Amino acid sequence: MHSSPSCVMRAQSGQSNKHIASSIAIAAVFICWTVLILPCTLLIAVLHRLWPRAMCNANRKYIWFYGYTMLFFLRPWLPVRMRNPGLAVCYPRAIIVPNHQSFLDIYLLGAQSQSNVCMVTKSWPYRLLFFFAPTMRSAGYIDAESLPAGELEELCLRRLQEGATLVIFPEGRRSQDGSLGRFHSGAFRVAVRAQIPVLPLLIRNTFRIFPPGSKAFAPAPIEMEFLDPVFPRDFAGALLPHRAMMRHVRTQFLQRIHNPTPENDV
Amino acid sequence: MKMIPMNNDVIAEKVNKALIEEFELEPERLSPEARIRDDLGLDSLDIVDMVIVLEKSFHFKLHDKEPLATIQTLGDIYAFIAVLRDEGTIRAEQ
Repeated sequence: MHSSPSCVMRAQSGQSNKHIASSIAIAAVFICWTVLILPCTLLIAVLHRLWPRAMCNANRKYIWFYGYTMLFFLRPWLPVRMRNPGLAVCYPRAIIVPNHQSFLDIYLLGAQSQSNVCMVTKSWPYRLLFFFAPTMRSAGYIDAESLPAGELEELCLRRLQEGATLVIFPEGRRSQDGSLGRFHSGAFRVAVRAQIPVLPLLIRNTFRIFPPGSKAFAPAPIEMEFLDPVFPRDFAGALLPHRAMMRHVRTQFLQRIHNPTPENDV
Repeated sequence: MKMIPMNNDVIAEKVNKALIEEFELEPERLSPEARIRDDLGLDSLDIVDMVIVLEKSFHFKLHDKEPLATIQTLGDIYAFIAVLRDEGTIRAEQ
């Protein structure tokens, strides 16, 4: 049975109106919660000046909490289903490597249970989220574009020594077409040097919800899961162990993307 | 063991093979004009790794890294390896 063109147009228009209403609601939640929490954000940045070392871990946990609560308030439009959320708590000295499809992915780290996470980011969040930048800096977040490769690696190792779990997006940028991009080797180089596992974190659907350049959200459930941890010792015999590890992790992602988790397994 | 003279085609073939295997680059992108950073998308860490891969493939050790600064394209890599061959650093394919 075929629908008439007018029915299809009415359905599309209804869908579009629904997306606009949802987008307004989602944007309102983002703005309201960020503004409400802003005094606390600024207070933490000030406290960090007084007790820099003591406040570093607290800042990281605070940012995680901001993401966690944001996801809670966004649940009506963007429900998150996370499989094995506690894996990073079992491996606190590790590097979480998520795939990257949307700016939402940063907030989604609040769906996993490890709160002492330190993100390695590009420079733009420090410019665009200027009100949040002091907190990011005082949490020890690393601006990957501001340092030469050698210094960046040393700083990552220092954060691990401080007890933080690193988060590095191995694609380096958001996917432009929803597919898994080419990986950069930095995260895996650090993992091999520190002899710590890499925890691949697969995020599904955020490209569909808010692709780069989009002006409206398309509400949908988000699915996340940690894939099996990958250990540097398993690649010790390779000419370039970090590259072998990187290829393995990328293959893990591709296999899982093409073989989605069964519904009852979530 | 038979020694095969390494002409420029063999050099290009070996460099391409090493890059395809280690960096998962598509063979059709590997033209001599391809810029290493802009066209092939390799970053500074990849270039460090590339040197190690080429050292292994061509059995040499690069002590002076300075000439690498002038390398921009894949063709520059072929030429660089050819210079090493002409200097006798790389003698022949075994």
